[in-house]
Amino acid sequence: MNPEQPAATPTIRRDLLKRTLVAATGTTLAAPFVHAQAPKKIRILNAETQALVLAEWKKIGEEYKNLTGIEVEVDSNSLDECWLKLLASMRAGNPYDVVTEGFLAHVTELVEQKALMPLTQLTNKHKWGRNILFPINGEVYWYPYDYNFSILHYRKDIYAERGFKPARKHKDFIDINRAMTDGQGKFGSLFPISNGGATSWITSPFFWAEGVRIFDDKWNVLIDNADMKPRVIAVLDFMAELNKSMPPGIGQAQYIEGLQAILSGNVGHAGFTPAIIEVPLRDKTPMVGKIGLTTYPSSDGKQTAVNHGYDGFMVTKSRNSDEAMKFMEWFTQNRYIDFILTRPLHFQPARLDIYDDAKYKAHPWVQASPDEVKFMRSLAEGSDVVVRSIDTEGPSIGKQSAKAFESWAFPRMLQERLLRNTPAAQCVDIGAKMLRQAVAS
Amino acid sequence: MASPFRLLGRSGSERVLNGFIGVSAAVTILVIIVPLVLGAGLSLLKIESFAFGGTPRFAGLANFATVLNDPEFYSALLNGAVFSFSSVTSQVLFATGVALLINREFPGRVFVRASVVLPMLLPAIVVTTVFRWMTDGSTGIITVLLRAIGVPAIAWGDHPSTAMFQVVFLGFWLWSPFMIVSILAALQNIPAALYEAARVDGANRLQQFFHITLPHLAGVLAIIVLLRIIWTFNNFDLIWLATKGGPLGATETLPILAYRKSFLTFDLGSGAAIATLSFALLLVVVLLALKFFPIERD
Repeated sequence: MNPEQPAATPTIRRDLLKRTLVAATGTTLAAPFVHAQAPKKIRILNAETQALVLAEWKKIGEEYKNLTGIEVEVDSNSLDECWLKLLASMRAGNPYDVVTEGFLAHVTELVEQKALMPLTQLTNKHKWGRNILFPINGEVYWYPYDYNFSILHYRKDIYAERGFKPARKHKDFIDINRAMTDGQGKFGSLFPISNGGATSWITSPFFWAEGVRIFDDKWNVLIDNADMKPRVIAVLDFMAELNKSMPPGIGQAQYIEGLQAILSGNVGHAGFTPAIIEVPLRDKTPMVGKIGLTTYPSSDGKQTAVNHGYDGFMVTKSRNSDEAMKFMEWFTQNRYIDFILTRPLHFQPARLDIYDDAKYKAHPWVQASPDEVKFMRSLAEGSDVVVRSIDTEGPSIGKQSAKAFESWAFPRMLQERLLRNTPAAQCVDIGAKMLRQAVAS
Repeated sequence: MASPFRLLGRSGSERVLNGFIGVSAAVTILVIIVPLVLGAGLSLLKIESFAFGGTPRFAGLANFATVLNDPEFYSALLNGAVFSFSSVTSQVLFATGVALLINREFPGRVFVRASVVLPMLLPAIVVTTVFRWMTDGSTGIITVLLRAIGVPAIAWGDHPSTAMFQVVFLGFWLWSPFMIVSILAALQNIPAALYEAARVDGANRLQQFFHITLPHLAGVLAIIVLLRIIWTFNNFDLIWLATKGGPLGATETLPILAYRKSFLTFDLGSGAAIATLSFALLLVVVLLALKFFPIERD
């Protein structure tokens, strides 16, 4: 008997505590072994959170498990959240295996950290649209599934009824917008100017149509030089004029407000992906067939633009990379088309064979939108339409371009001009200063 | 060898008590002190990679110098003070009035009291999204109703002043119930005999309020005002979801600025410096409040 332990002391509580401690320690120590014995699993970090996509992921996972015995676990979050979760998983030493990504700078940053598997052997199997693979030192590190262009949508039925034609010039666009604004709740357009990515994606194509370039090949800011400043001023003044035909609230509008406004019949134009065409088809609303696609106008009408976007899959370097690569090979050969078909218009295919795929062509939404699909394909295959985005400006894609995007310089210039009535030249100076600070930090 | 459990105390109950204190202390260290120290440490580093994977470099106080030379910091500080002051003042006045009303006997009192708590059950994302949809300049129900009676839509997010009003209002919607419930609880602890004695002495309603009710509420008011100042000054979710700090930086407070610097412009050091300065400022406010409004009085 332990002389330090009084014989009369009840031992039940102490024993319980000790046993709990021993059990906890044992479980903790055994965890790595148990983990190593666990069946292999592919972890996908997915930023496409729409119900149809999630349902398809479930089917894909079940099918892959039946085929290989390997479980597919899909963790779905918003795009911003995905990035933070990916970083957290990497720092914890257990990165997600396959990740959907919508920001190229993240890809280049991860390549710089040697955190991604090259996917060139997979992308080489198909023909791709313009400006989408973004190879780094000869290797492709992501498998794109969507161009994610922000395209100008317009009310085809109203255009036909009033004899309008899609405008190439600012002046014509303003005239159409004025004609659509009735002072009784109907407006010409809704383009956001709020803080955040929505403005940079939906509203900035007006700048690209005007030929605005943000940086030279040494990251010097160009927007306030003798060539660019008048172009930026032209767009800011055009937007101030267009604002008279826009509903209140553009200072806070994000991605969804334009879509809602055009689908409710309250505005005649909005920028977004062709999800705007897809929603009436899905919900069988009276707006089916009433919305068309066109490009953003410029002051002289010589060129028009859309905003570049992109989404793709990355495979991280991890203990599971081999299995993840096998999954990606199977997925891109067998189920990629089904993934695209969950949103056949919203996901604007970057892999050109998709447009000719029998399954794609047979999809009822694709069949209902022949002109729109043709338009999407023309943007992918290459046309005279300018395709740019803030985060692909500059000599290389990476930290600097990401900082430029997140500086919110373009939203700020628009807010200064439209909400505070600051002279356009002064707005440009403010934006240029913000961009310089962003790339210098 | 002595059992490690004996180190916790001499008697069983003492050991249990010390065990609980030890667990609390460990949790506090783990979830408050350690992140605080790590955050303060980050503010002394320069991290070049925005994926936070690069090698951090010691930067001394350079991040603090950068932040303190940035007009955005002072603008965010002022916005935070305006947001905090407006939110807390409006909520205290409203909650005191409502609590006094529902402290009386009236039919349906239980239902009204239960209803008062409901907004507190809503997540910030629901409140901000519902508000944005209701006030949408094109399709919002408030916009449509206003238009029906000939009133133009209010551009909530298009002007700095209305944007600040909007976030204060959203906070009012979400957090007034907490104030009401706290004040109501304190009101119910005031002995009725005090009011009866005052009435006998000829005191009117106003005199009863200022000489009996308010002194009895002082303790709880001091606590909830202090808590609400801390919570509003540190609020991130509501403002981020509603305005992202815009338009024109009108609703950008220090937490929003710290987040933007850290996770959007990838300057983790400056973001941490802002958070550290914000913590220090708030600490001073709390210490002053505890000195001048001793909450233990009640």
